[in-house]
Amino acid sequence: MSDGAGSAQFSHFGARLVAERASIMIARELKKLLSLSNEKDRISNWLISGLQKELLELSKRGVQATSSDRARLALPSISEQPRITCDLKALSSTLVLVATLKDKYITFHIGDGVIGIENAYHGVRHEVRVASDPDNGEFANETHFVTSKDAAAHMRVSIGSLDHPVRPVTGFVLMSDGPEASLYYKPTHTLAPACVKLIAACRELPHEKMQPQLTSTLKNVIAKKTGDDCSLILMAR
Amino acid sequence: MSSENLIELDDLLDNPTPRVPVSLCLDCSGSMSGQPIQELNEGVAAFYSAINNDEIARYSAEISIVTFGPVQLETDFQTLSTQSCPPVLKANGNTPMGEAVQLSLDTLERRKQEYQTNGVDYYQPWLVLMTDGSPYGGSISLLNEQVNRVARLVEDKKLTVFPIGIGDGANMEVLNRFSPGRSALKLQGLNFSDFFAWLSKSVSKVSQSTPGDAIKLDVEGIKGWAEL
Repeated sequence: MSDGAGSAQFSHFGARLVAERASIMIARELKKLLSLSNEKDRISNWLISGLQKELLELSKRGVQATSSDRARLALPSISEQPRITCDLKALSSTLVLVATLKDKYITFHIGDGVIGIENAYHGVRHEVRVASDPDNGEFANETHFVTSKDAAAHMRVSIGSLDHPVRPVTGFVLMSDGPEASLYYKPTHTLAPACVKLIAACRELPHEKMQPQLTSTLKNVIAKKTGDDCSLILMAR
Repeated sequence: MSSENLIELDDLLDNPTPRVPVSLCLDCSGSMSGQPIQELNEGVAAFYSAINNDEIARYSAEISIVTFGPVQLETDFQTLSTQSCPPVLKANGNTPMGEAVQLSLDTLERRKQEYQTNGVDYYQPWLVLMTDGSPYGGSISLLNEQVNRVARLVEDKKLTVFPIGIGDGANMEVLNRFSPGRSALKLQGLNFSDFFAWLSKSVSKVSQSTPGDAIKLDVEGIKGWAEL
């Protein structure tokens, strides 16, 4: 998932591009990436340079700003100027990504948001812990973005195994900073036990029941505790 | 068909509110006696009241007040939900500005450490320095040290500073040294109330900012209280 920076004019376009392109880039090279556990800097540089190149092209080509974007930003109408060019910074967004292949997983994380990983103990008890914390810099309104000059240095990559004789990985939870406010406890860097309930639901419920219930949960429960927008991804096996 | 929720409100965690630490470093020397100290007290009281009435700032803004001279920590950092009334300031003594700024900055650093130890998020701290005169009665070398310390923090984007002169006797040259990149401002007369009203709105804006937001000060609003 990719969360657009609040103050960046067209960050929603940046976020969409980052989420789509990162997924495609990583899916194409996943087998190779999973073998490069000692070359995480190289992986970070590869991903960031690829994404920044695409974002720069978009910034020069111009975004197809909607009527509501144009009204909000006092921009020319669609007929007067179909595409609006912008600075790279206007497309700022974070990235939170997990990919799995057979018995391995890889995580990518720049900026705020959290990646949680669930393990099963003796096939019975599930526990969720933080695999990647939010990276906010010193101040609450600072974070790092895919568009930042030092983005590669702040990209966190981890590679691991899903299988373990005692505590195999049984799920992941990815969240933007909206749900982070109530599912991640900052003083102790831990996740709410509710994350286990969410992953269990993902495991047990058919898709046609899970999706509307997750939507309702985000809208009617999680969003009540934050003024920010909310994104949540659950993976379970 | 209504959807059930997967979890309920009781399942959610309560995180500490991110804090905005604001240090007021205020000249309460003998020359502030009479109307100036009265207006300053009223301005500070209005500041507290405005912050207290703001739903978000009330739990986010933490205010510390250091006065000089003599140098005193009148109030240590706390939110107005725990300390809603300001201290009553009295005018007395010299103007040991360096010592006062040192105490303000040391108190700020200590508070930041406490936030970090306790996992509390915070925004960039603010230092408001107000004087009606020139530094007097303190160490010149310490004053120079604190000027450099503030300038370094501002350049490293670790601090926002507002040096404000009160009246015609205010040494604007010294105040300007505390503020690289932005000139110190002089208050219009004794218009503390408008300044503190502007300050409370600015603090409220910060407490609602999100990652990536650049805080833009209300420059138009400054015209309401500063001589420009």
